[in-house]
Amino acid sequence: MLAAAESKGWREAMLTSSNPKIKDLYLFTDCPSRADGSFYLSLTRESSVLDLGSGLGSYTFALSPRVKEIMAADTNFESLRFISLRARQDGRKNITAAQIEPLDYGRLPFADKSFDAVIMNGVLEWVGAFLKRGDPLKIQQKCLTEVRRTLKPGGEVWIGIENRFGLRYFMGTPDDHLTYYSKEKKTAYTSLLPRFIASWITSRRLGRPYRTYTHSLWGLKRLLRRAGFAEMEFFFPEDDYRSISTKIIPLDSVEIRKIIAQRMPNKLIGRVVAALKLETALCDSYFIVARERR
Amino acid sequence: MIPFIKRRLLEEWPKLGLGERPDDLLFIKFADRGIRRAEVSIISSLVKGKYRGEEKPLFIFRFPRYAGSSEARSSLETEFSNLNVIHGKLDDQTVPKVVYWGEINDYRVLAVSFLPGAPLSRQMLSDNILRSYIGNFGLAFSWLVNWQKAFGSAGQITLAELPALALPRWPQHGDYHADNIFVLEGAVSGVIDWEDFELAGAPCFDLYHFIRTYFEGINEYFAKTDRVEELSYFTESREVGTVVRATIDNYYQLAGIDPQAEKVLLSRYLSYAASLAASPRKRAEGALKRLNILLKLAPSSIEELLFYQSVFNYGEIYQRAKEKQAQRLIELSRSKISEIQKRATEKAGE
Repeated sequence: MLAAAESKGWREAMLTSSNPKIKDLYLFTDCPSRADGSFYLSLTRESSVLDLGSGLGSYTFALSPRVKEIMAADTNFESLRFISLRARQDGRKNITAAQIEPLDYGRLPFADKSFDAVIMNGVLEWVGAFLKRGDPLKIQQKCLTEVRRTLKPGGEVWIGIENRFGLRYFMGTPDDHLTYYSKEKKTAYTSLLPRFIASWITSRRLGRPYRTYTHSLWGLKRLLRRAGFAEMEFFFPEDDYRSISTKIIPLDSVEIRKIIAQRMPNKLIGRVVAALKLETALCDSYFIVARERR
Repeated sequence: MIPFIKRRLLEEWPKLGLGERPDDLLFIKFADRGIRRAEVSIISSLVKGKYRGEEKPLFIFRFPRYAGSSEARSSLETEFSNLNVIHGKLDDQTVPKVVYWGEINDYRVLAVSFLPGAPLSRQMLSDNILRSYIGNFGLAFSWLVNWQKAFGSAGQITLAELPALALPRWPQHGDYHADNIFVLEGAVSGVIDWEDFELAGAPCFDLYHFIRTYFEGINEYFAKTDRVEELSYFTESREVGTVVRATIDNYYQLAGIDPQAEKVLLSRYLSYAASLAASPRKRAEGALKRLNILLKLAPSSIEELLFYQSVFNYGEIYQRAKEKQAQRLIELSRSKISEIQKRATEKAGE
């Protein structure tokens, strides 16, 4: 694909690829609306942004015309080569690509207070899965603390992540992260279980412990607080945080109650959830803006 | 960007004329309706005010995805100027009013008043599609006729005088479709998206656009679910045709249009719509392609337009059936496509 992108241009190479997976990826790669949630960040034309776990660069390229400079960082050398190639072909001079070691090590090769914002879209839940040892929760916390170190005063981290207790998981949707290890053996309900039981199940089914930790609403708040982020704003991407374009609703809006009520499997459960005001805890995924302090 | 907008709006709150200053503003960003080119994209949000824990919808806030996008900027400027023209002539509660217009951090921004109700498109696919179609047409047409009359349409239009009417003064919304019409308690509560408004538009443009896009929506629904029979029923059955004709004739009568002028007006509509789709502000390549095909087929009536238009949906079913190797569907959709092609060829021969 990289060779084709070099010779006939990255867009053409993706659209004409004989590999259907690459074709499918095109829309996700070239769709700036995927990164529209970043409008909730305080970015200006003078901002420096780090796109951590940049993949093929959907956030990197969407943000590039809006900020002064953007650093795409990933462990995958091939995807960084793609970003560099695309940046060159599209004339985006403010994009730099940097290969980093897995975030599990909790070390970023950037100076203190370098960035106005750090993007972590679909990244945090994978932190802890590379290392086979150690508590993934603590590894994630260490990573977030490291991210905070690279933020300028008042800087913000943007996180897109599934909710461990998302309503769809209660209704049997397989764990998204486990399908990465085996597409055939779909495993449901694991995120809802205590971690050690989930780990026992995945060890038996997939031959590996459960290390892709997602969190509840409270769990995310606790994790971020422990990593030194005192201020947080949560949003509900109505469709999904990964989708090409989604309605985004601040978590303190009453709109969320209506949407979750419509998704309830039956009226009785709906009434119980409404009475306990648990709707916001059942969103399938969240966007989060977190900062040390304003 | 949103934190800066929020701060500015709260600072300038008294200028907005929206009453009590809220404790906070909630920005609910809408999903893109259709993914178009990034350069022409505009971010739209519903802004709600928080008042002592209560929430109240206040306005719709729009700004370009990229501050430097000249297309998006021009689109917002056009909408701003159109809304001012409309409200300069008519105090219409169903048309949004400009609440805020300015620049924030180099971004051109526009806020327009919030209109209550739900899009008419949500009522399209009920259990009885034909019945909801009659109801929805009634709502959309009565609003259109009343608005055009109040605005001062050209009056009677007969076939004989059409060629002389190079530029008939006929107010035109320009994108009058079921997603842009809001309904509340059985009445039209709002019509949005005024960037294509024309003071001197083409007669019947909005009428034809509404019907064509309404059927496009129904057809897409049937096509996605491979329901060839239903698609065929809705685009060529006598029963549906009679209902469509009755509603159109009713509009012609109310608007003072000679039904015999339909063929000429329809062709003007298609070429006008194609030029809009091709404009740098829109660059709607898919729509342009379809409109050009319909223009070539030169339908002489709405019924014929709807019949020809279904070819795109049969094509969609056919493509998918081929991928799935669903033999029956391949044959069914292919036969419908051939039928449409045959009729178009026969007509061309005439």
